[in-house]
Amino acid sequence: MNKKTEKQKVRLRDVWRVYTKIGVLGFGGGFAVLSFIRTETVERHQWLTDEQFDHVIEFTSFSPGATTINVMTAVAYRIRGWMGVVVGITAVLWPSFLLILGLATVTSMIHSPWVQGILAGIEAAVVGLLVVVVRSLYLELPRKKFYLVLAILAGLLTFLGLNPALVVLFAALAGIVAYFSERHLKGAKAKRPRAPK
Amino acid sequence: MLQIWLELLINFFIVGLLGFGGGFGMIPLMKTVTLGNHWLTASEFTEAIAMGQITPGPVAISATFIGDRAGGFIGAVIATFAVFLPSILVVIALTHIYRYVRKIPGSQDVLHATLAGVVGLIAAVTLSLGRSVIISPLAAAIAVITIFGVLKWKWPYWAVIITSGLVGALLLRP
Repeated sequence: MNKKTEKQKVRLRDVWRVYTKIGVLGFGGGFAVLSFIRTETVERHQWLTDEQFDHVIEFTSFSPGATTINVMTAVAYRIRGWMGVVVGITAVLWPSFLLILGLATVTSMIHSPWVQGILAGIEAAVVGLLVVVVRSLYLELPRKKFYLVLAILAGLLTFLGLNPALVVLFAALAGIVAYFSERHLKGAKAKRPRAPK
Repeated sequence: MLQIWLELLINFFIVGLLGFGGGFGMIPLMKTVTLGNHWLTASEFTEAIAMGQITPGPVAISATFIGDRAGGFIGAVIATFAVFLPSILVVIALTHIYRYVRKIPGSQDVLHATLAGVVGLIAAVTLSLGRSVIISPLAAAIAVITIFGVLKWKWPYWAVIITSGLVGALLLRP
């Protein structure tokens, strides 16, 4: 399909250029930026095929961390190994790193009521955005009552002050226990129960 | 200062290691370590998350903001490095072992259970941030309009943030 992916070695200079571009223009993070990354790496530069990109998205979902950085790490590693990762991730992060450093300095120096007003408005919007994130993350899960109960339980435990790190570990543990008890119940009938998709 | 840098390194590494569900999955963990170590106040923490939203790139870049306030420029570098390192290592490991991971029975179910837990986590954090931030009818209105704007009219996140900043400057000045 495209011959370039296999044969030519991608230059690090190009990795730097493309990843910096994504770092500067990739507003919104997460899924909003994924299609941008796909356009740049698959369509425009043909570093990998569509199927390979889908595969990258599939397996990076098993990793913690920011979705975009994970996908870009996997792509960089595939085309140029460790060097690609170092160059690529530095390239994608430096613009927002410098920008947020600047903002941190500015907001700590200026205490005008105007700045406080801006921040109050932005903070309210962040709460709204978080509600949207909760909804979209939940919709990605399979429709099972178990996951709903687990989510509510995790929410309650967090709200009562349990360390979120422990909550994450508990949720994973609950998943393991549920998987084995479900398989046990189904017995020999279903030897290999698999989640849909 | 050395003490703080070391704490930043360890704490943000753990945040990066356990933050499943994309960058937002890190926010509850980030909040716990940031407030627990008294690096920021609750309202400053929301500010840090907001800054991560206005800037391009992943929201986890808020770690830079927190690191800077806690430990200056070097603190910022350390926090950023520490928060992204775990997932980079995990992704590279997965590149090699994913075909085996996929064959482990139930791996998908465990992932889903973990994500369900993260949904609850973020919901709880949203609630507690909301209680400290939504203190006027206008703030509540901004939050509600944000929800509808993003869901129904597909407003981009950064545009929502900038607009609400302007509205706040005009109407929410103390």
